[in-house]
Amino acid sequence: MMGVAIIVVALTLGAALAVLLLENLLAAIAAASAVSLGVAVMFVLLQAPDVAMTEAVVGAGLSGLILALALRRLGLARLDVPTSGENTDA
Amino acid sequence: MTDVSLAAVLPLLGAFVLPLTRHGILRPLGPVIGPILLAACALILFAAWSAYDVPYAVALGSFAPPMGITFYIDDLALLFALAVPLTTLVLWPGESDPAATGRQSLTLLLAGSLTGLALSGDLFNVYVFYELAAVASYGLVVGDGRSPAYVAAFRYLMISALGSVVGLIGIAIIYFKTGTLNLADLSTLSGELADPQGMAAFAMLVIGFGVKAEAFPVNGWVPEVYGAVGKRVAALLAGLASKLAVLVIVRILILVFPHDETRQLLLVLGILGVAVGELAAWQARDIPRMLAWSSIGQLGVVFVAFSLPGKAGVIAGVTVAMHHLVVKSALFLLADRWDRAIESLKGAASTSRIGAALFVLFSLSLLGLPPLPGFWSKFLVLGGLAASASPLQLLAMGTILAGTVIEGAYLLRVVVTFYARPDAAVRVPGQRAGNLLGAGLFALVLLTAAVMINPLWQGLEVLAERAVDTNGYQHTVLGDREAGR
Amino acid sequence: MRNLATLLFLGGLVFLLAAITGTLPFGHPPMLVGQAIQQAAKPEVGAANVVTAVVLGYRGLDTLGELAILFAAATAGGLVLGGVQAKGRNNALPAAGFVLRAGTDVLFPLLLIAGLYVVIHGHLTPGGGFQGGVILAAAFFLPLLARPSESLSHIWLSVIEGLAGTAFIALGLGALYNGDAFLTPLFDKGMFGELVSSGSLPLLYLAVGLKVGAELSSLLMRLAHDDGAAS
Repeated sequence: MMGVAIIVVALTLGAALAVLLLENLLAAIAAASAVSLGVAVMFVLLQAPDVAMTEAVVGAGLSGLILALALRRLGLARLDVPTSGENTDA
Repeated sequence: MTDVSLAAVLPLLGAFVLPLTRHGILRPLGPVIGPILLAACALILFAAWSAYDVPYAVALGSFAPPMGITFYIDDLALLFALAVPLTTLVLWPGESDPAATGRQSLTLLLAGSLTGLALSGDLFNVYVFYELAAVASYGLVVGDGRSPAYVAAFRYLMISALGSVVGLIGIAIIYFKTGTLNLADLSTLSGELADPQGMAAFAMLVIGFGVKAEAFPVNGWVPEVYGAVGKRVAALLAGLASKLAVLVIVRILILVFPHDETRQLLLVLGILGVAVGELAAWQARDIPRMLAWSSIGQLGVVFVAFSLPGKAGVIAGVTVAMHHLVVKSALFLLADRWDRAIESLKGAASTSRIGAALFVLFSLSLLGLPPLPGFWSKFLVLGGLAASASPLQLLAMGTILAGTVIEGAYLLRVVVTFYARPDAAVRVPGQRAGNLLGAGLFALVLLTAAVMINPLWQGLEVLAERAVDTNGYQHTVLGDREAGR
Repeated sequence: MRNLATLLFLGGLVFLLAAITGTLPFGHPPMLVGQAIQQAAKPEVGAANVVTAVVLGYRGLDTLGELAILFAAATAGGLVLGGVQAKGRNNALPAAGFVLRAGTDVLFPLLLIAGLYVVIHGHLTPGGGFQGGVILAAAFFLPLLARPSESLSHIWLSVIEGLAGTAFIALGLGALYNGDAFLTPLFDKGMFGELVSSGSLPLLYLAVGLKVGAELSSLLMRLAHDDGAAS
């Protein structure tokens, strides 16, 4: 139980760091979803299944989707890292 | 069937139903649903005031008070709750462009949530209604669809979201220390919150709810938003929404944190608000920004007034708040067509004589010219401050007096511009009939208040007495079993 | 410079919070109301999932408030997105690949059933209207990704949304008709743990689920389409 918790916390913190450091915005969104997923697992370990479910569905699923769609609207959703100075709009 | 909780729920129902009227057979209902429901709310609240013995409590869902959510209905709550549908009716967005349904829905949601803020007796429920009011007002700000409004809305969103988080942490600390969220229950436990942690929680709540109440450190969004949005929305936010946020802070102050330190916090924030607001309003070059900064200054006076202990504080605070509600809503309505730099309004009085006259009337009341209600509101605040003259309160007195002088300078500058000889090159737009009608209604309220000052005073005495009666609050909500804890 | 200021601000905030919460008795909160609700929930509300008893029973008005907040956010989003004019872009998503199309065909029914299950069993097992509603929204969004040309009707979504919201409030008003306070649970509590139990709570959650699902799918569709096709 304790071991699982430590692994999950490490993964969550790693994913959170990745959000800050990743250059590619889509990848950063994926990492943000991973953070939520880790938090959801923590909630399960703390015996709060309802909260865990909400966190997984909203935090890991929906908010990632909305962020990705917003990126697409802004013309920033691309898999290669945009170099500075390049016009990103299609 | 005239349950008072309907007043908070019916606008929400209207907001849910409104999108249905965009298509099909319900279409003719669209424009009338909002006004009808708001009028119904006003009637329900009015009936609740006259038919039942206030104060009383409603346990929503029929769950016994500390567990379920309660509405607490006394004169203070009913006065502010009644102001919500009435003001919203006057400021109703009656346009008929494609986006109008959305704006009307959001206005109804704002009205419902503000009524809920006035009636609710549960800390977390207050937070939910506050969030609803916040989200609805972001929507109203962007609803104008102009790009300055988008930028302003984004800054507003950021400040407000940060404030909400801080406020939520404050609520969490309170819940963690006491294990309850019911205001009556918290009031019996207020002793446990009289330590540094409790004070920090109160400060966080003031920051959180202060965003809408335009309290000193978190009001950076105010001039930008009021400058960029339609003036009816600005009137709703500056006139109405800010007062309900103040009411929430005051309820928490009276019931849960009745200490000298918390009052001093409000006093200091109020003094800073007056000083910053009035000075910035003096510097402002266009009408909406001047009104926005002046509204920050006026809310500073409201905070100073409510920081006075006991009945005197409530009487002074309610008077200033209600006066500002009427006057600032009306001034923003008049600024709808005069939404520009002050210099370019030379000779506005010759295009719209009534508009300029109303502007003068409201300005004079804001300044505190004796027969008008503004005089009584300032008189009560200054009198209260003089009665308990500690150094800080003398400072507040000085700041408010100096603020009044500055206020006079900038308001008279506008009035002089209005009545100056018109500039041939610049055409000043006339007033829209609807806005003049709205402002006229507000003027009628103002003048009625000026004439009926005596009965109003007696009503206020009763209101204040019940508002500061924490034991009565606990008994009404919890019954007899808890009061001695 | 700006980053430094942000860091300083965040550090200060963390320090403040640590100083305030550090002295609180961690892990032993005074469960004044919590304890009372845990004891009273079963006989008073009759929902096997205590969380649901709190969300729809004791704090039902908060749930209505949350619904209204979501609705306000969706309306505001609609105002923003509907106002942006197309600048000569194609307004549909690019055509999907085989994997996405095949995956959608498999996942759509599964997601639909999962979402409905979570909504309907909200009063018995963890989950409920909000979570199930989001799953439903995801289920209806997938086909849009796979086959951009066939999209759901906005009118129907807004009809479902409006009717579900009205139903929630109507269930609350029904209690007023009986002479109780707003949002008092209606009907008989039934057998504890049965599917049809705990009065009107399952109906309330069904309304929540439909409203959340319809609202979010319409928001996602607006976001996915680039322009006025959404309004």
